[in-house]
Amino acid sequence: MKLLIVDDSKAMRMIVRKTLRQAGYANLDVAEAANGKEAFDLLMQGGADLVLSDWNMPEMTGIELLSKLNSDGVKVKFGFVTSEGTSEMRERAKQEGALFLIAKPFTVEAFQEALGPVMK
Amino acid sequence: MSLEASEVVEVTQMVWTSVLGEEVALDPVTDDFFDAPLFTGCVTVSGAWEGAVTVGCSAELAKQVTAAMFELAPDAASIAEVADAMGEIANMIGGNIKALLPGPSLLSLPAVTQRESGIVVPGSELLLLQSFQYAGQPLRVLVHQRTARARPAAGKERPQ
Repeated sequence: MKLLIVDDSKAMRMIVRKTLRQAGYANLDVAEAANGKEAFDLLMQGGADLVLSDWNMPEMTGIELLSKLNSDGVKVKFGFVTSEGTSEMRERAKQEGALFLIAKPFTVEAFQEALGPVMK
Repeated sequence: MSLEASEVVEVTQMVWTSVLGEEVALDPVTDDFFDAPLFTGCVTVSGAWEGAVTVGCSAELAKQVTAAMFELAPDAASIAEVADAMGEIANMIGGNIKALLPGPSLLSLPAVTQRESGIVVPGSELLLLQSFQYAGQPLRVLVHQRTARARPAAGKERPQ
């Protein structure tokens, strides 16, 4: 499975990678992008099966990325990993078709719970 | 305004544990035992509640946190990596504190200063200061609330 991690913090991208390994997903083909625009360009080039995206980023936010993917008809599984997990944001993410929202800081168990159904 | 110091302690400890593990506790302390944080990360909140959340700590602790986040040897972190890590710490703590405040509101991208005595948030007052120590190193979280006079007049808000 090809997975794309989108976060403007390199430190957080590394923590997400580490947590994926700890959650039992060590054999994924993982790519990284530093904002929504970079992610969109990468998705147009090679695609991915699942996107794990931060919400608040420069250039293009995570929700703007998801909206653009939807409006351009790009089909990809999408979930948020963000420090902001208010009910309003969860609702908006759901409306745009996000499969889950993992709130930072997160646990290995939170990754397993969110990703388990998606990885089947 | 209902933000409690205990909520800031809980949020900060949750972030700290997720980054550094549980081997050493991040203890809240009553004395703000340093007055010149060398690295400070800051995020601002705008909307129904306006203000800023800043996280300051000693350079030694900032490097320790960075090494843990980047899986580096101690003292191997570059300034850019420390800024990245401190920005993300401020983002996580600020994002979770924002969720405790009246909404809807927007969280800014983080900014990080180095070798400053702190961050001045113009037009705001200090709402809450919570100090901590981690393995003898100081850390503090400050919440500034923008004063009513400094808020944009009706009809002059920035476009969202």
